[in-house]
Amino acid sequence: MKQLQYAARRIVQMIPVLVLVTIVSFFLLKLLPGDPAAMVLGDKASDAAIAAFRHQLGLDQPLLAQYLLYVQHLATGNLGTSIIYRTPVMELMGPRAEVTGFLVVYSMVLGILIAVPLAFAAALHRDGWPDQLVRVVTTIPLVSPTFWIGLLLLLVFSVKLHWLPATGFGESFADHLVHLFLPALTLSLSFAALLARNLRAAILDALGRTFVDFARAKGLPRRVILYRHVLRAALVSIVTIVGLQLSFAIGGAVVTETVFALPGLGTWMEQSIFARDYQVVQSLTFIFAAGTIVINLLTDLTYSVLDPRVTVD
Amino acid sequence: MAVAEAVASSPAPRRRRLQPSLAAGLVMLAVLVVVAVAAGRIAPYPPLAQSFSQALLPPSAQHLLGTDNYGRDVFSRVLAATRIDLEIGLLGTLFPFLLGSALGAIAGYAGGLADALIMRVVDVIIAFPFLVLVIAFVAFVGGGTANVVVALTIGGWVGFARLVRGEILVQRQMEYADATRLLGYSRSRILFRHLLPNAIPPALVFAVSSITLNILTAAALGFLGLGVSPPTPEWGLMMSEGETFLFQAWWIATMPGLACLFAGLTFTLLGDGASDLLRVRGQ
Amino acid sequence: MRGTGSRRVLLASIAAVLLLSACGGAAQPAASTAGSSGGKSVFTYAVNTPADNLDPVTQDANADIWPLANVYETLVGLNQKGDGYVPDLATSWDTSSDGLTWTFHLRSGVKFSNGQAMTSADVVWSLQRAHDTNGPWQWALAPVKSIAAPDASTVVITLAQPWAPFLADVSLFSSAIMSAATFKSATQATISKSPMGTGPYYVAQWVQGQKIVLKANSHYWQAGLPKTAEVDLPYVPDDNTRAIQIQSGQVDGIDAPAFAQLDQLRAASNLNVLLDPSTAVALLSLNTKQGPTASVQFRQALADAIDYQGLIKTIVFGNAKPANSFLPETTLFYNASQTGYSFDLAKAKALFAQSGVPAGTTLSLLVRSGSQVQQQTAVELKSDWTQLGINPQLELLDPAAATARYRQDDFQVDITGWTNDIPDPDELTTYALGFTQSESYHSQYHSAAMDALITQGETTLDTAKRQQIYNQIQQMAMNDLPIIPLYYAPYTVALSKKVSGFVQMTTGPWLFANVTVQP
Repeated sequence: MKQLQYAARRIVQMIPVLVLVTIVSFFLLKLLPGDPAAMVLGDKASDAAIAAFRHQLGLDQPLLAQYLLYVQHLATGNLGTSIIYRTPVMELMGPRAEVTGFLVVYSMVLGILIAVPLAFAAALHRDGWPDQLVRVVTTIPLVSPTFWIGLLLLLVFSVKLHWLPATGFGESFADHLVHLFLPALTLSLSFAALLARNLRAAILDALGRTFVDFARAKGLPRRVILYRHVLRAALVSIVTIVGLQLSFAIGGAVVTETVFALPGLGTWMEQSIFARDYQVVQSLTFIFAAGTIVINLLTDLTYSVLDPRVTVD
Repeated sequence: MAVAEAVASSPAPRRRRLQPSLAAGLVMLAVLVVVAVAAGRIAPYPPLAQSFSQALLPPSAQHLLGTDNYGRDVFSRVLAATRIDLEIGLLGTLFPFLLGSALGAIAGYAGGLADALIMRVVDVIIAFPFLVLVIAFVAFVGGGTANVVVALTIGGWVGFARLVRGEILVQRQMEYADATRLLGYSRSRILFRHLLPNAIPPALVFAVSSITLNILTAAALGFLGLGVSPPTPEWGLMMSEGETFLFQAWWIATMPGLACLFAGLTFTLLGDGASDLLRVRGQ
Repeated sequence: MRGTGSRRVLLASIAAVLLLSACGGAAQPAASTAGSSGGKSVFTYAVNTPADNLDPVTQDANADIWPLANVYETLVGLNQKGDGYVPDLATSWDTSSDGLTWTFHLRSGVKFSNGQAMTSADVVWSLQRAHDTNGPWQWALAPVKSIAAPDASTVVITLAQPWAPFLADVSLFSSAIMSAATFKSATQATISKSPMGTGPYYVAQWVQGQKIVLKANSHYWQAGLPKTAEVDLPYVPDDNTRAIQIQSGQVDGIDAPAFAQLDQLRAASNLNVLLDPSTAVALLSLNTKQGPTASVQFRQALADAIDYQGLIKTIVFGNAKPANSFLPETTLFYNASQTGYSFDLAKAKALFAQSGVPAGTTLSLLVRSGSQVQQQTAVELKSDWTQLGINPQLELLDPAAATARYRQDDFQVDITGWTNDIPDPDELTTYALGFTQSESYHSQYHSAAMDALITQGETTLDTAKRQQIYNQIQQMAMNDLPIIPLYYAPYTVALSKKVSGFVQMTTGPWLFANVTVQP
């Protein structure tokens, strides 16, 4: 109940944050030098043609009027029309969101599958050879550029071994799993490494904490201590890193999607910033923002469920 | 159990020898520092010297790490890039770490209005995808080391703030915190002497990962053409320049990648060692 | 047209048949004539820049122009070499003795891809629209006074003055024949997104920023064409990824493989690498009004200080010739004996001393992020020009910011390029030196003598006299030097050895009608 109240309060708190997000994204974009009309019409376009196009897009209106119109549209669920593609943002977004969503979730699943066993192995054999090995192995993805790993994977698995398709999204769910394996793996490696390290620290921390000692003193079997306390601490760590990683994932997706030629949101965002496709950048920012806030809320709620010592207020 | 005993029963500092990994980290750091300071004297060639006849040569005795498409010596460039990359990595981590930890601790400990205010700002910043925020900022103010560091700080402090705040929330509930409170310690003493030292290790582990992460973000900016201007030697820019030649001259992109790996390994070893020490001392 | 776009800036893509928000392409029966050669029914050709506007009149990018040639046709076509004209939708044409009246006789039996017959009314509507629309190609039909259709198969165009490049202008893609019935009351968005013409293919599907799917036009007027039922153009911006795709057989061909990768692709036993002669020329635009480049001696010193061979070796791996004129070699009236600049540091230093520009002056080079070619060129130029005793600095900006600076004439040196769209020199000459269209590549070069020569070139019908005029223009351009021509590079294409019949025009467009792919 307390958690429900808390959730309700946080959702109300979202509103000013989202308003702030719309203000920052709108005015930051307008401050950037560059003009979408010039990008759309090309270098050959006359100043008159550009001015006419700007007028048609409403870009010659006062900034405040443009902002209010944008917010008004947003409030009614209208994300506007891409300046570059002359197509509603909503229509362009669906297929791209599917690619990126699949990629990110896939990479998180792979990352957790990789990280959890590594972290437990390392923590339970602290300073032993599994710990050292995990330390070395998890360093590599953290210190290598994503595109570099991606290209090496492509070279080895697609070009040399012909095991996996070079690029693409595929047509069915099973197809997606095959096509997106390399990109998801590329994206997951640094996440997995970060998670494994954090998780190891969290497990050690939990093992060393007083409450574990207390529990041990009460004569609980070691297995129960592990499950009850360490696993719980581990879940807190996973939730934290997943929450953090989600906001990094879209950045990581830019590079990964480029290398693997995936038509996702990351590359679209990058393209839209570079072409000053205001509507697309604003809409995507808003959606990412709302999504991130929801994820953060869920993270905090999960904390309080996982760890009764954390109160949500 | 009595309060005093609860405090006493928190793990006592264990005396330890210098861990081998920490020692290795220190040695590697020394190497990095020497290279950063004296690259000009160590490097066999000037990092900007071009030569058409020497283009795209594989590693050899003459060119230890080969040459790039301009005939520049990759080894010399990797060395010359060390200083700028360390600068970006360290400063781009230090500032977010300080800012984020301080604000996160305040938010977690003080709660109430301060917490709400700080966390709303965190929400707004974290709501922007990190790379997008950095790109937008750098596109607005231009590239260059200082601007990249500022961009990394603006985008990066929120991670530390959330992490530290979360830890403080946990630590606050722990028995020994209750104990210190009952012992009549001042709020600031509780925060800085007891809560923060326990909240910092995860942030420090994250910070160490962040040094490399920030070097890689700088690389991503170089890759997107928004970082340091060519022909300045910078690992990320070198990798993006070498990407075109990955198939026929793998060394151009690989070698700065290996340098990155070396630097990352250094800070990881140091961070692991340091976090162990901190944990021991804090409890 | 001016080279724009950079491979990294734009969206990634791939064949993602599930993910369709398909645009355009009227529903049509699959062509029955195509695919009869026994080859594969689909030709997949990965491109490095996505199309964003498929209206021939308002688009402004090679990525739009090059596929469009398979969808829209013009009255007059270009031969493949790009130096002469061939009948296309008009079978023949006559011109009055004063050169003012042109009569085009339309081909009979031509149908649009929706089955509707093409008539003179479509031609009049299309050309009138091209003439009236304020867009990048409006110059092409600017001398036209009236367009009329005396009967269903004849079109008469009257000019305001004799116009030497007129046939070239009619052959330009913006003079493509569109269906009046379909497009007359259509919005600009529809025209841009749903092309429909008389060409061998129609756009069956266009997932913007991802791929274009062309399917055979079953009503095409040339019997037996196109030979392959479907052409897929996925957008794959990354050079390495395209190279991997062609090597792993995932695609049948790739556009613009990087020069750095040609040797490796040549070494693959299943691939052919084509270096197609192009109308491309790499250029520098220099600000003639502000900064050190305002001095003509300084500009000449810069041109003499460039190591052209070194540049060619680094950027295009030797696959280009140094440019001796701003006109590409393949242009009509290109003067092969025009003296160009060549690397001569002593001469450059002497000119630099005369220019009055102080030693150590900072010179800023505008570089668009994401373009490896621009970046590499800038690094080479910095190295060359440092020897002159100045301090060149690269100014790396994202494309939109760089475009803004360029349009505001706020730069010192811009790295740019050109490909002709017509074989006549008029297009490039007017654009690069005639001020009105682009402020002469925003160099702000404006010369009354040059303007007079350009007008003479346009209105003189005698070929020998035109040659003389364009020789003078080329000479004057090299002396005044608002733009420094660097080199002529070919187009690069890599195809599977199973592919035959692929054609790329010197002006750039890909022609897919004769392509067959062995299974």
